[in-house]
Parts: sequence; C-alpha cells; structure tokens
Amino acid sequence: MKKYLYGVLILVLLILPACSNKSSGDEIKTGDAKNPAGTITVWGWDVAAATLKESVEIFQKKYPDVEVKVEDFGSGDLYEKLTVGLAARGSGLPDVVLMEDERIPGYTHQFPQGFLPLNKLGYDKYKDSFNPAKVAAVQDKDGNMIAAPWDIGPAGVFYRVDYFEKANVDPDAIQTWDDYIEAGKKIKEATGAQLLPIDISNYDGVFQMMMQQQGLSYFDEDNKITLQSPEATRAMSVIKELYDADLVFNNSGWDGIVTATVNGTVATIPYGVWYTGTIMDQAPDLKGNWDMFYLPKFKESGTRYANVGGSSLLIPSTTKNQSAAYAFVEFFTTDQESQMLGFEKYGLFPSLKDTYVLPEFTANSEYFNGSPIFKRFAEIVEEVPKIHLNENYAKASEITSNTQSSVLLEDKPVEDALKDAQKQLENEMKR
Amino acid sequence: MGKVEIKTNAPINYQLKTRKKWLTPKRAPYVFIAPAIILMLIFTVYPVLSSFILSFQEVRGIEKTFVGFSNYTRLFQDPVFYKSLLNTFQLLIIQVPIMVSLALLIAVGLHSSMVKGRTLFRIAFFMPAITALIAASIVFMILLDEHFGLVNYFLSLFGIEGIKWLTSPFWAKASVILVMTWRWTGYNMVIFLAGLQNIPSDLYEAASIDGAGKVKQFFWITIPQLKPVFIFTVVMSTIGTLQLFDEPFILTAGGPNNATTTITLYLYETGFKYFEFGYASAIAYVLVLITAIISWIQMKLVGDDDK
Repeated sequence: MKKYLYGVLILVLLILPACSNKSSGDEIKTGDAKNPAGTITVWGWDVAAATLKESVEIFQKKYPDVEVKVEDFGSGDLYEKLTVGLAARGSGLPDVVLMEDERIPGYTHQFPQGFLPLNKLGYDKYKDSFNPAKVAAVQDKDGNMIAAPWDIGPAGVFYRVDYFEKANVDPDAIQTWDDYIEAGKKIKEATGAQLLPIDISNYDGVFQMMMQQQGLSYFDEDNKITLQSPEATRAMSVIKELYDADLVFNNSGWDGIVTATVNGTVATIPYGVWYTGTIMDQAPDLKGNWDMFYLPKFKESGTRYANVGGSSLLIPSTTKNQSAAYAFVEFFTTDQESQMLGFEKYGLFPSLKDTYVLPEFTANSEYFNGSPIFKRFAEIVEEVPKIHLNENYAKASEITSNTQSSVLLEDKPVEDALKDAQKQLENEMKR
Repeated sequence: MGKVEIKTNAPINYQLKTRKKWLTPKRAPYVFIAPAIILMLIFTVYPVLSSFILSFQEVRGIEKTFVGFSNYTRLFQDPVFYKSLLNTFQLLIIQVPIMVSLALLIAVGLHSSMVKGRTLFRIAFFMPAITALIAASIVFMILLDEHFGLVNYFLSLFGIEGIKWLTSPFWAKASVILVMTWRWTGYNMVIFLAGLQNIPSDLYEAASIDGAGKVKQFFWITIPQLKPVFIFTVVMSTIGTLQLFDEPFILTAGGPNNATTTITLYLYETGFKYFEFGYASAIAYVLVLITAIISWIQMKLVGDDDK
C-alpha cells in the first residue's frame, strides 16, 4: 500500500510541472499590424507608469480598438517578476515592459529570445529620431533594437544659489573637480552645508558619472574591465578627497537624498536631469534658489558631460498581441505629445530629438533661478560620450559601491581597493 | 421497499466487502493525511529536489546545462561567500546567547508572583514576534537613520553624536543584532515561561527548607530543569539566525561593503539580481549542510548526559 501511494505521489509530482507549461490558450481578440485590436498590459513604475497611463488616451485617438492596462510596481518588484516570468517561459508576463537602460544587456544576455527585436517590426526607421548614445544603449550584441528609447538623463550639478552667494562662490568659475572641492570648502565654512550627497555603501552614481565624462563605463569597447585604469583611479581619488574634506553627506537611499535636498543639508547635487522633477515637487519653497552648472571636468582629460539613468520600452516575445503591443510602443516613444506629457509633469527627459525645439524646452524656468535649464540640458545631449555596457553591469556596480565604502569608510588606499575590485570582477566575469 | 426486506444479508455483505477494499481502518489515516502530504510534496519536496539538481547546473535564461561540481568549487573560492559566512557566524555567536539569556531573565521575572500586571508584560514582550517584519524593519531604519533618526537625536541630548547605525560596518552589525533581539526575545521568553510552569514547586520548597537562597535555587533548580527548553530555543534560534534575511535586507541591503551580507541574502542576490540560479542553489545546499551539522553538534553537546 505504501509503495502504491508513493508511486501515485511521485507520478503527480512529475505530471504537475509538465501541465503548467501549457497554460490554456484562451482565444484573445487581436487585430493585425494595420488595425491592432484587443487588450495589452504594460508594466512600469512610479512617474513613468503614471505617464504611460495618461498617454493611453492620446494613443486611443489613433488606435481606438486597443485597450491598454498599465500596472504600476516598484522597479525592484518589477524586475523580480520579470525575471521569474522569463525563466518560466513567459507565464504571467505583460505585453510591454519598462526597463532601465543599464539593465537591458543583462536581460538580453540571460534571455536571448526573451524580447522582440523591434527593428524587425519596422522600428528601424526611427533610428535617427533619437540621440545616438541612447540608440546604442537599446541595441543588443547583434545590433538589433531590443527596446524603444524613451527618456534619458543628461547630468549636471544642481546647486543652491543662495549658499553660493553667501559663500561668495561663482558657479561659472568651477571648471574642474579641484575647483569644485575648493568651492565646497568655502561653502561649508560660510553656511555649514556639506557639498554633495553620496550613498556611500549602496550607490556609485558619482563614480559612474566621472567615468562617463572620460568616455568609459566599468568596461571599455573591448569588454575589458576599466577599474584599474587611470580614469578610474582619478575618479575614486576625487571622491576620496571630497570625503576627507568632510564635504560628503552620506545619505541613506533615495529618501535620504530627498530629505537632504529639502532640508538644505547639501549645497549641490550632481545628478540626472530628471531630478529637477523631484526638487520642484518636494521643495516648492526653495523656488529661485536652485540652478545648475555642468559637471566639473578632470584637468587631465575628458568632457563635462555624462548621463544618469534613462529607460526604454521592451516587448516580451511571449506577447499574445504583438501588433497592439508594437503599435503602443511605437506610438508612445515617437509621439511628441505623449513624450511632452512625461516631461512637463514628471521631468522625464525625452530622447526624441524633435521635442527639444518646443517652447517648453527653450523657456526660462522660474523655479531654476530664471535660467533656461532644460535647453541647457538639451544642448549637451549630443555631447555625452558614448559608453559601452554589458551584462555584468549589476555586478560591477555592486563591486564598485563596495569599493567606494572600503575606500571612504575603512580607509583602504584607492589603488589597492580598485585593484581588488578589478580582480573580483574579473573572477566573476570568467564564468 | 418490500423487496429490500425480503433480501438476505448476502448482498449487504458483498457491498461492505467492496467498500472495505478502499477504506479500511488501516488505510483511513493515509487518506486523511493525504492532502497535507500532497501539498508538502508539491511545495516542499519537489522544490527541494529540483534545486538540488539545479545546483549542478548552470542556468542561462531557460536553458540549463550540467556543469558537475563547478558551482560548488566556485563557492569555495568566492570571497563574498566567505564573508557572508563569517558575518552570519558573528551574528550567531553574539546574538543568540544575548537573546536567550535575556529571554530567560524576563521569563523568570514574569514567572515570579511579585510582579504585577504579568499578562500585560507578557503580551508586550511577545508583540514584536507577531509584527510584520518588513514593517518593523522599516520603522527601525527610520529610527536608526544617521542624520535624521530619533535614536541619534536622543543620544545627542546626552552628548553622544552621530553614531553611524547603518553606515559603519561595526554599527550596522550591531543594529541588525538589536533588531533581531527586539523581535525574538519575547518569542523565546514564552517558551521559557512554559518550561518554568512545568517545574514542580516542591523542588523549590525542599530547597528553601534546606536553606538555599533564591540565587542558588535559580542556578541549581531552575536552569537544570529548563535544559530541554534551552536545547529547543538555542537550536531554533541558531537555525533562524543561519537563515537570517529580512532584517539586513531591509535595514542595510547587506552593506556597507558586505558587512551585513548573510548567507541567505547572498543567495537571494545571486539568484534574483545576477540570475545565477544554479549557483544560488549550491549556496542553499551548503547552508543546509552547515545548519544540519551545527544543530547536530548542539544536540550532542547539550543533550548527551540525559541518555
């Protein structure tokens, strides 16, 4: 009897997982490429999800037969659900999904068949409508456009006009990182505020910006790790100098940086353009007290331009309504009105170039000290050095954050720390 | 109706016989436990087995290839794994004794008839154990914030400035220990209380007639009598600590520089952040092995002379 029971149970075990693969395929209403119809689901988060939701109305003017359901998760949850769904051969996945650009190589490496190559559906014709660095970021190794470009994050240093005036520091005179440090010391003396926030143990954003200014990511074009390059040493050394001069505010996470912004704990914040939305939203009282200068450069080499963040839209290849999903992605990313919706309301900076001439872009911003801040960001979009990322981005970023905390918090010499980091990343990448 | 009455017993016996085939008193228990067993097989045994197979595979997307023991050999050369192992053991060695002794002290206190409002205190101490961990960890994260947290504000009133609760490697560990202790002391206290109630009171009476004071009674009666409870709490706490995940995940995300990365946190990151499910499964199996060995040693050490 026992044996018999076990036999049944083992049988059940073997059959159950086999069943789950063939989910009952209900007949869904879909149209064809010319007249898409039916319902699609879109995953996004936060302000991006809000933008997607609001743009549906505009989309439906052109495609009245398509229903769009936008679901809003935190980005961490979204990635987890996406990973699990892809690993389970597409069960429970949406028709369109939002993804940060630096995550794209990781996903296309892990799941080479996971997403539709948009160029094969006709997206190729828009290649020149976007800024080239962004287009490069959404391509896979074979040059297929895996994602449709949405927003980008040209970087600058947001600063407190009143603090700079009080300390008698001229923002235009800050050309190099050395100038920046000197200015920081003066400002600290005059106002008590620290110069910039860095989430030391969890986020290496400043380091990444500094690397991109010099034309590198954690990897060069040949996929070689750059952590022991002179560029990386320079970047980490400047961060160390800033910390040693007690100019770094060690913020904990996103809430920490927002609190520091609102409370006036820091005088400057080097970040992507999308942070304007948060500043305006969270600190309405500081109107007129914020402005922006471009990133300081390294005196040895490099530019004053970098990019932080940005995301794109992908279509999982398991979608049951490809025509409607593509219609939505194509429409949303190339439609000025939808793009401006996200820009005006939430500060999501489009990569669609022909939006940059619109009056909303060129106007002076009252909040930002009456300067044409968005025009100035738009002007540098073409100047941002193209960098090469690969599937090891997440690992590299983690290792660099750890290196940053060992250099700043545990006093490990910059060269040793970077050498160890390079070695660790090499080990990880061998696999 | 009439026809039935006329019928002999024979067909009825026959019916009973066929029924008997399926549901005898002997088999009935199996039928009753079947739902639970089937669920356990699907949701526990099956994943356990399949992750064991997974630990010998490399997973890329939906393709799996057998790689033999390479996940395990990699594990033994992985500095982050060693660090997470070390962290876990540091937490274990420091936290469990503190918590168990605290739980015992509180239990003895609440057991004595001198304390008023015992039920209230019991509930108060037990509450953390039934609080949602994520919510609790977020509250602690806010309390312990280096710049804006309440804890540092109070300390500053006494002239202690800016303890980096979550951002220095040392204090981050201390914070994790603090939160773990806050959460689990009450739980262990309840177990000790139950144990205390089982100690016969004539032991104490006899001791006090012999002239033993309260302290002597505690060390010579209470503690030896609580031995099985000790074994239970220590083993359970050890297993719990070896599987520690929520507190560091929310409080510090394993930082700074992996100072609070525990084995399970590393396992999770390996699987869900870096997509290496095969390697993550190997970590899981090594953790199972370690847990089994330590539990076995603890049972041997404490329990031997009972037999």
